[in-house]
Amino acid sequence: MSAALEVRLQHALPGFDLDAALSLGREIGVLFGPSGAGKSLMLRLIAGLMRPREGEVRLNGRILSGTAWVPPQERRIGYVFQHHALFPHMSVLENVVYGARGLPREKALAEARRLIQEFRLEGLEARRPKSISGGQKQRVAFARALIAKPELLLLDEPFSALDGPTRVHMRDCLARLMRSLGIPVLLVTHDLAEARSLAERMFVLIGGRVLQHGRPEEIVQEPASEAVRELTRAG
Amino acid sequence: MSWGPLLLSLKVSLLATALVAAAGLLAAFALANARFRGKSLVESALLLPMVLPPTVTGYYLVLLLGRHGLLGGSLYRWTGWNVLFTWQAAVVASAVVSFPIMVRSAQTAIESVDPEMVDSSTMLGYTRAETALYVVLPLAWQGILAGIMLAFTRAIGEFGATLMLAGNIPGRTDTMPLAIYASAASGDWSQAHLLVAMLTALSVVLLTAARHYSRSVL
Repeated sequence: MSAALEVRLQHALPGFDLDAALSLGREIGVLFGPSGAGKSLMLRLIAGLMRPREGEVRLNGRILSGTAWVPPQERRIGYVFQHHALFPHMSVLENVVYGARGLPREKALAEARRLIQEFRLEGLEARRPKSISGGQKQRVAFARALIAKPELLLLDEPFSALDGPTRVHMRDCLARLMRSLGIPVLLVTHDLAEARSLAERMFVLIGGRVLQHGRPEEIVQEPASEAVRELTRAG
Repeated sequence: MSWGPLLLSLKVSLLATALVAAAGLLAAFALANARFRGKSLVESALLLPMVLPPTVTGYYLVLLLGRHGLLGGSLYRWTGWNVLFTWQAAVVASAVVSFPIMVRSAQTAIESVDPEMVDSSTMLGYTRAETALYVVLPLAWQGILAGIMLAFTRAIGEFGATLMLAGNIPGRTDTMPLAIYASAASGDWSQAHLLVAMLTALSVVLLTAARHYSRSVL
């Protein structure tokens, strides 16, 4: 089976050079690396929020970047941002419904209510984002990203804005959900414990290069280089 | 005492502000989104009427809109009408002078919207225009409103460019600032006092309102 997501990207920013490739099936991939490694840049390039200098992004056989260019609006990619990026002028329900662009209003409302229930957000429909907790905000962001049934889910440090206990709890809840989606999920983190507990496939990104990829346990037990060993040393 | 100058000022300033609000909002969106070489030069050019003496701005407008001007010449040939020394000229003068204030406030407000909000809306499938309408405007409206109020305040106080372009014709182009000058020059102090008091009160009210909505510009 060929991979659902195939990415090969080259991009240059002042003082930084990205040259990385990865391929991912319908599984959870974790892009793991220190800050400044180019993780978020890679997500933005895959999403089409930035144009790569060179390379190709292919999702379920469709070329998104490369010989063709699909604008980000038409990529069918769900994106959960680091700080959730909920719209403060909309209620929880409106935020989720906003994700269902193109769906008839009635259908969008029904689907949003279903997701709100699935994410255990009942009772919060009319609340504004500033009056709900961090964990709830994150669930709203997930519901909003999933309502349009994306073919790929990108998560930029989705748990970093949460505090310790909430973080572990949310991670476990969402891991189950993400596995049940049946689409490729690519998550960015610099937290080793998070990477190990979520990843079915892990990509170690350092200095704009994928230095190693594989199952997280393999990487931790048999790091291919000193840099990877250093980064994956437990504790 | 005549109510003419007050009514004329309100008519001229409201019209000028409506024009400035629409054009300024478009310009602000364009500038906030655009990345091009020479952007800062374009921004400076747009802001020029803010620092130029109004008489200089007015002088340029006369050159541009006069019967032999770049724009005014063609208009005169086609319609036989010229804007100089009409109340419409006062609208043009006020609009040009208050335009930079509107652009500046609106651009600051638009640029202060978290880029993640815009990216998020983009990834949910919305075009730039839709994102501007549904996300950016609702989040930036306070700064935009402050800009509109300041533009109105500037428009109603316009003197120099108006004098150059519209003259000071009693009953036709004598907006409040011009009427104050004429009253004082001719020694009609009671009229001058009254107009000055009205203009001051109006400006204080508008400035207070604008400051209420904008913490960043003022």
